[in-house]
Amino acid sequence: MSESHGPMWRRYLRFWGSDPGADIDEEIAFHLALRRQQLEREGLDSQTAALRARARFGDVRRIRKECMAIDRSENRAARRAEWLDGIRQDVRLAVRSLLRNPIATGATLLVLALGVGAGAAVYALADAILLRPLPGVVESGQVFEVTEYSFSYSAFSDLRRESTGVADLAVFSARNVALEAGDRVELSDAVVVSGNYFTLLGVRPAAGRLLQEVDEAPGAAPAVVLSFPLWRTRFGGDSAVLGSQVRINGRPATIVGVSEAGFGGTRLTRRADLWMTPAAWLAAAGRRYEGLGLDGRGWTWLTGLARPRPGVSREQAEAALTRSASALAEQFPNFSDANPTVALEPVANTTTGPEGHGLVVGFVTLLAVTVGLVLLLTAANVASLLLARAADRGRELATRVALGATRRRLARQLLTESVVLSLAGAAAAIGVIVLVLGALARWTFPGGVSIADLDLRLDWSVLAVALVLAGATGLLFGIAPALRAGAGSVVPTLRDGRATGGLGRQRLRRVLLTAQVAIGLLLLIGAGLFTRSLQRAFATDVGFRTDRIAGTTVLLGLAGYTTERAGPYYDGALRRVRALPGVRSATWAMAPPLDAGAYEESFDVVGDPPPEGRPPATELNVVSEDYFETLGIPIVRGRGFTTADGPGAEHVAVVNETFARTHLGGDPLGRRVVIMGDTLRVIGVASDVIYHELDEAPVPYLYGALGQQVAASGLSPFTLLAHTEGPPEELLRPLRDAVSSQDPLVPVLQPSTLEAQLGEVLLPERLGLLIVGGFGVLATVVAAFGIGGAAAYTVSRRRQEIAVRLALGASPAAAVSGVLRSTTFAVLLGLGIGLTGGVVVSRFLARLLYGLGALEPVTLLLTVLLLALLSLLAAALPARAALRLEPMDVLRTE
Amino acid sequence: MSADRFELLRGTLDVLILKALSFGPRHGYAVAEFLEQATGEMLRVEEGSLYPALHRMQRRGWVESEWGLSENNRRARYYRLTAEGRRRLREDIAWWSRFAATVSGVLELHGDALPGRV
Repeated sequence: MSESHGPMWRRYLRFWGSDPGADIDEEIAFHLALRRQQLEREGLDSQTAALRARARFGDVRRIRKECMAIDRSENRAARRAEWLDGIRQDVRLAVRSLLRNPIATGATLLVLALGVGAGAAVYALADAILLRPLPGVVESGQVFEVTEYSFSYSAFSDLRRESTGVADLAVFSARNVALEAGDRVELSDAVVVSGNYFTLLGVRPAAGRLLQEVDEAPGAAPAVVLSFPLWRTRFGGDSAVLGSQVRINGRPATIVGVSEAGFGGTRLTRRADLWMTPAAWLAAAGRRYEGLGLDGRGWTWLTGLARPRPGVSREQAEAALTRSASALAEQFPNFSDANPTVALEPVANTTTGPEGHGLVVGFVTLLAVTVGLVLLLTAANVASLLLARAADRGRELATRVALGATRRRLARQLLTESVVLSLAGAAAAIGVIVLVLGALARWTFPGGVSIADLDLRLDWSVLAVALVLAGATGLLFGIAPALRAGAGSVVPTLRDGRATGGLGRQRLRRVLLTAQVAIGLLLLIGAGLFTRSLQRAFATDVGFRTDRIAGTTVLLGLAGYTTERAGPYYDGALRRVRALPGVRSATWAMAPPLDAGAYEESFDVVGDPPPEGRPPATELNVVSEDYFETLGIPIVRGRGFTTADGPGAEHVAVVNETFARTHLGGDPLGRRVVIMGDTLRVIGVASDVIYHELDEAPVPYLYGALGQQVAASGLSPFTLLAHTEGPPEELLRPLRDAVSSQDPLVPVLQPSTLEAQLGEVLLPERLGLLIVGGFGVLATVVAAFGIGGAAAYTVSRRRQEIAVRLALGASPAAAVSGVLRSTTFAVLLGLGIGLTGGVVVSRFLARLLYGLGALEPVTLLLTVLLLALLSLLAAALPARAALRLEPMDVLRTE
Repeated sequence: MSADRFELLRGTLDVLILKALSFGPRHGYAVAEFLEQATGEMLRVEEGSLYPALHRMQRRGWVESEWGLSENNRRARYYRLTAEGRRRLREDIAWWSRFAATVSGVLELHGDALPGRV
């Protein structure tokens, strides 16, 4: 048998001899020889005696084989037992040796748990958003969302018929509805879908049936499919609700089924509560949509989903759909761009809306890179700690080598320590994952994905990731000390009581130190850049008051209101809010400041020649009197709205400076603008402000008076904004109660403050700062420990040298700095590498973050300086301790 | 040899080997000699079959072995009873005595002494 079975086996062999096969041969030969001698003594000649001896013995080969088999099985069992015993012994030794240094072990475990936990949590997040975003959809890679082209219902019917050989086409549109079941009305997210939507996606029902093409047929009874969560929470998961009636916006509809658990539509940003057909929704949508109907072509409100037929590529489907759309555009030139293009985007990439995906991918990447760097740093740090410990334990290890332990045996033991450490780290990481996922649930992801809506579970895959991360980190930091175990020669180590180390080990230590400093600096620079961006963002003048503004949104359209009843409602609610103590002024706005959505309308300026091509468009807002006063938006010319601008008076508008400059020229006051079929006289110019995002370019913006525009806009969601005397948070409840008391049946959304709204606009930056900053601080602390540890180790190993230098009259600073030269070099190299990486990172972040230049020299220099100072401090402490020693004492004892 | 007789023999062989070793460590040949002298021609087995039995008993922990020098200065493997082997031997001796007494008692019965006979 070979020697590849490990040291224990070898010891076993030594006990028995070298080879069981040879042993048996020898044993048998001995027996045969003795028997032959016996037979010869009885008078047989030697040849006959040998034959007789063999005959009496039996089949030598068979018996030898039998004995071998018995011995082998014995050895196998013994080997396994010894191996297990060795492991048990190693683990016991490892735990004991780790516990001997509880602070270092605790710190390592903490860093490991944080790194691994964060890593696994990031994986869970990426998994829920990017990897398996659409549970329930069959072959979701073959389903595409139609981008750059939106459908009217008629266009959908036409295109679907035209392209039926190339792809199946379905449409959807997310809408708010008031769902009335029993005596409760709740605002719900409905997705209006064509009858083939579920069939195209391949989603199955959890109960009853899903929508089918028959539900879309003219005259079909309005049918509703519930989402699984809504069915469970609102209807108790009771199958008896199938076939029963609910009211959607006051109109009856029948629940026909429940979609399969996990499926919530194709948007993670807006999980569906229920699905209904366009006809059913339109019947319940109210007067605002009267006249739009399903037959018109001007209202392109539907988003397309396509599943190419088998064998048809995405490009072929795009080309065919574009051809059909172009043909349609020729047929109905008034309702579409002349040259429409149909682009198909994998549906997995549009779960956060067509624009959100890049942001989400960028963010997850940032998270993953950050956590990856932290894990690397952790590994480097722990590796150098273990390396230092292995060096300190040189005597122990050398003793064991002298007593017959092989290097492999020692390496195994050191590796066991790492494995024990990383397993404990993985166990602790589970706690971190649970905490992180719990904390994340309150966040909204950039792109608008509410994390609470995500299917974030601590499932096996997450646990596996945690284990792999911990294992990889453990292996990374365990392998270096293990490889070096016992590398030094035994005799000098035992004689001097110190490990001789060797050049290789020292180089490794310096590399690890450099890596720690570089990674720490990189993360610190990242944190600095996020801080800078946020700083600039908060310093940005948005152009209106953001403090002490509270607001709440109402949805009259969902409460069965008519435009006739809307005007009095708005007036009444405004009066109630103004009467609240602590409210300075209040106003209504269709588009509250910093809202993500925009209303756009085309317009004509009276007196100007009609422009070439399409008419110009402007963003539109409808506000009540006191809007500009409440928000503190300066009126640069003319006046804002007053109560006098009522329905009976001349219809008026306020435009922003950009509108006035680009479309009105000369004196804007008194000019007339035709918009939404209404002619408005411009009575004022308001200054440009930030409408949606901090880095947006100035856009034309037009305000209409609520009193005069109720018919056009009154049933859109409207937000009541109040300027408060004290903190706006205190008025959120009274505000909501006051608005609700005007009509309890009107759905009122959760009130919030404008500052919170601003916070949401800055969410990517804030989340980034939280994550990168948090890890940056952690990394810096870890790196500082690493530097301090390295310095302390070097100083302690070379105390003798320092003592000699001091004794020869060197100044303390010179004595220590000479010894620390290599450490200093490693730190400087790390700073250089980190800075270079930081320059690259700052270029990358400049494209993602608000207000950052391509290079931020001040931030870069400050972070480098900060880390350099920290390094100096970390190295100075052990150096000072070394200097406090009496040179002669040191020289005598060593 | 039929299977059940073989089993009987194997158990017998084991207990005889244990007995042989109870007088002190011996090598395989000495065990074979002991068996031959003690049983005469009664238990004529292949001498080689001792060795699998010895190795098996070693695996079970009844005997242990060690290399030593034989009377004529050759390397030989000596087997020795362990405490476990001794215990085993005592049990086997007790069991064999009872078994043998029972079997021979039955075999010596006369026909009319059989129960159930009227």
